[in-house]
Amino acid sequence: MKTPITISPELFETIERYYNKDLSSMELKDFERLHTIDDDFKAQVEAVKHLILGVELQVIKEDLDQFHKSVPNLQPVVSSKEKARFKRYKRLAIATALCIALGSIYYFSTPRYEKLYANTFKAYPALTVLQDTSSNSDSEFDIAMKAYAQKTYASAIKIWEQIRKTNRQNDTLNFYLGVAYLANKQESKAIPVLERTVQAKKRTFPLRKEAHFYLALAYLKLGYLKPSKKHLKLSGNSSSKTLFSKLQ
Amino acid sequence: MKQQVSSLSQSELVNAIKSNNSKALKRLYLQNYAKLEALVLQQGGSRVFAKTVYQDAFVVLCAHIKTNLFSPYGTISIEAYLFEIGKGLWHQFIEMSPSHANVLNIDAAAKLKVAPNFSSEHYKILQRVMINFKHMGGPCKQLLKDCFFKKKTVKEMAQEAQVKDANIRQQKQLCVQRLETFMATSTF
Repeated sequence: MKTPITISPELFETIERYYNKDLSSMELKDFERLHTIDDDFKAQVEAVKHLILGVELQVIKEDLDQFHKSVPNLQPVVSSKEKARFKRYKRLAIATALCIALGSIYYFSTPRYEKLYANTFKAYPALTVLQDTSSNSDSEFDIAMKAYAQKTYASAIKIWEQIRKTNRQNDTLNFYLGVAYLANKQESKAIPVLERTVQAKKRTFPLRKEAHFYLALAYLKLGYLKPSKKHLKLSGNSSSKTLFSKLQ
Repeated sequence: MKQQVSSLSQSELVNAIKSNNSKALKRLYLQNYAKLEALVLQQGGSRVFAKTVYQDAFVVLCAHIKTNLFSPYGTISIEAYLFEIGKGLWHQFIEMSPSHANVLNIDAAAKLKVAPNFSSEHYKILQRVMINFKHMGGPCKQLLKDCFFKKKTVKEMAQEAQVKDANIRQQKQLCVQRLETFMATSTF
C-alpha cells in the first residue's frame, strides 16, 4: 500500500457501511454485483477494509495493557496434602533455610547461570594488529582492535558499529563486536551479531566454533538455557564441553 | 451487552468481537490468560513473555474473527483457538532465538498454520496500518477510533461536538488521507 488508492468520501462511507453490515439488502446486492465485475472497485474495497481493520486491531492492542492490569497475580496452586506436609516440616525447614541462608548469602545472591557465566567468560584474545608500513595510520578496524586489546570495549564497539553500517557480512568484525558487547555487559546486543556470524552461509570462518561458544554464553547470561546448550553443542570445543556438562 | 461474557454463546462472542465490545473483549482476555501463562511458565518462560505472547495471540484471534477466517462452529471454541494461537506463537518463539523477539507481532501469525487462507501480504498491509495509526496521535487518532472502532456515525459525532455533519465528514476525510499519507511515506 505504498500509493494510496483514491476513494471519494461517499464511496468510502458506502464501503464502511458494507464493512459494518449497515447496507440495505438492495444496496448490498448492487454492491456485491459491482464487486464481482469491477477490479478497481474490488481494490478500493480491500483498501478501506484494511484501513478499518488495522485501526480496530491497533485500538484493541493498545487496550490490552489496560486489561492486563486486572489479571490476578497468580500464585502456584498448593494442594491440601502438600500444605499438611509443609506444616509438619515447617520448623525444620525454617531452621535449615536459616542455616543455609546465613552460610551462603553471597553464593545465592547471584543466579546460578550468571555465576557460571562469570566463571567462564573471558574475552577472546585480540587480533594482532600489524602496522601497515605503507601508511602512517591504522585502519578504523585496527584502532578498534587496539581499544579491544586494552579492554576499552565501549570505544571498540563504537568504531566497529560504524564500520558495520556498511559492512554487515564481515564475520571477524561481527565476532569481535559480539565478544566486545559481552565484555561490556551488553549481552542482548551481542546475540544478534554473533547469530549473524554463526548463520553466515560461508562456513569457512575460522572462529566459527568460538562464535557458537560466545553465543551460548550470551544466552546463558540472559537465562536462556535451551539455545545456550544448542550453541555449546554446535561449538564442540573443550570449554563448551566443560560448560555443557555443568549445565546438565 | 448486559449478559456476562462467560454466559455468551460462541456466536454472541463472535458478534461481540466484531463490534469491538470492550467489556466482552476484556472478559475474554482475562478468562483465558492464566492457561497460556501456565504453559509459558512451565516451559521456562517468564510472565513478561507470557503477556507478550498472549497479547499477540489475542490480536490475531480478533483479526481472524473479524475477517471470518475463523468461525467457532466447527470443532474448536474461541477460547481453545486463542490458546492454540498463543501456544503456536510461544513455540515459534522458543524454537527461534530470543534475538528474534520481534517475531512477536501480528506478522508472525502469517506463518502459523491456523490461517492458511490469509496471505502474509494481508498481514503486512494490516501491520502497516496498525503501526502508522499507532504513531498518528492527536485529534485524528481519536476521530478515526470513534469512527472505525466505536462505530460512531458522522451524525453522532457531530452532535457530540456540536458541529455540523459536514464538518465531521470533512475532518474524517482529512484524517483518512493523513493516515494513508503516513503509510505511503513512513519507514515503518
